[in-house]
Amino acid sequence: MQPTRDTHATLVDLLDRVLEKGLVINADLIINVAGIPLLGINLRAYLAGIETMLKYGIWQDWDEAQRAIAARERKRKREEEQTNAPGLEPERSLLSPLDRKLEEKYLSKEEVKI
Amino acid sequence: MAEILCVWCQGRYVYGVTTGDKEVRLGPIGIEGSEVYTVPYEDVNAIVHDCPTKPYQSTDDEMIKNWVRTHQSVLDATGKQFGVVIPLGFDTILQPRDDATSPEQVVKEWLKEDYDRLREVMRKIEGKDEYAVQVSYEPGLIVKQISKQSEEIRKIKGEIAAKSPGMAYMYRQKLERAVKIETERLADEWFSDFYGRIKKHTDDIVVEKTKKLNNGQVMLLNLSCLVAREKVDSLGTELEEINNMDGFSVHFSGPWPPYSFVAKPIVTAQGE
Repeated sequence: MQPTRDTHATLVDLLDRVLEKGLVINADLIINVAGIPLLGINLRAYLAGIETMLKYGIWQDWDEAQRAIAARERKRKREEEQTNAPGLEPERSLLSPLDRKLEEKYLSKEEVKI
Repeated sequence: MAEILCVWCQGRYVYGVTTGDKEVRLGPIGIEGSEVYTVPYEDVNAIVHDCPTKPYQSTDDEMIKNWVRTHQSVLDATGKQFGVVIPLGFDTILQPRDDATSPEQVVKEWLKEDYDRLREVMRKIEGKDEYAVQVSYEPGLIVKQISKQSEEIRKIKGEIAAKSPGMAYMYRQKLERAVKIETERLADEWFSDFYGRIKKHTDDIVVEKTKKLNNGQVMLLNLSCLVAREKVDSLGTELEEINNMDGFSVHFSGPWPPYSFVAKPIVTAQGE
């Protein structure tokens, strides 16, 4: 069996080594790259499974950002539901319970027609 | 030939360290066409190019891959020319501590400071290259093999046929558990078998984390091997045998510079 190089399959081996290994130099002398997002997200995905990335916190920021967006979205929706009902359709809140029932009936008939 | 001088380039990107006591100019073979040359101290020679004092970074995967390939090709070229090269990782950039120090001085000071360690590492890696070896197995085939071999699993399988659908379901779960336990036991066995067979052809070996494969196979063994040039063929023969075993496949890449064998401080036989 002959070792291979310069194929797509060996690119991962190369990236694993060049990006994560090699001789380490005294940190006082070098530019500190720690904490700088050096690589694209796709390349990280290429190098490690998502679980590994979460485990080592690489995706933590991304994950937290996604969660924050989702939480904001939910909050906005809740607020819309509370405030928009009278805000967007003020006439509706002025209707008597009977009118509202009629309106609902009317609306549902419309829907059926469509 | 007019040489492009980069006056604001106070950084020195370091590819690796080789032997030699003279500055050697290697031409524009570096990252983004940078001029690569060496900075000597005594008989060790750092392979560098001039760059600004900020790291190369990008969100573009292709760009990063190209940088990494170039980093590797510089090490290939210098390895060919000088024989032995200690590889550094991507984006190692030396910078002067203050205005009074020149970038050249910083490189020389570093070589001086690390001289003993560098010589030690060179002794260790001389005449050797790194190879990546991964052994994977086909889970389907393995399950079949286990079912044939394991007495307990065969027994459970026989019992399923005679059970009501509800009971058969319970038995299938029992079977799954038994197969899982047996697979783990076998995986341990295979691991130590293959590891031993591969290790004897190497001068040093690092067990890497296994990876999830997207071809349905399961990676059993992920190794970085430091192999003397004259032993590569015998390692290849050993791997061929494993590769020919039913249900197993071997990935064998290299030669790489010994990235995995230069990172840790060297502990000598005397235990210094």
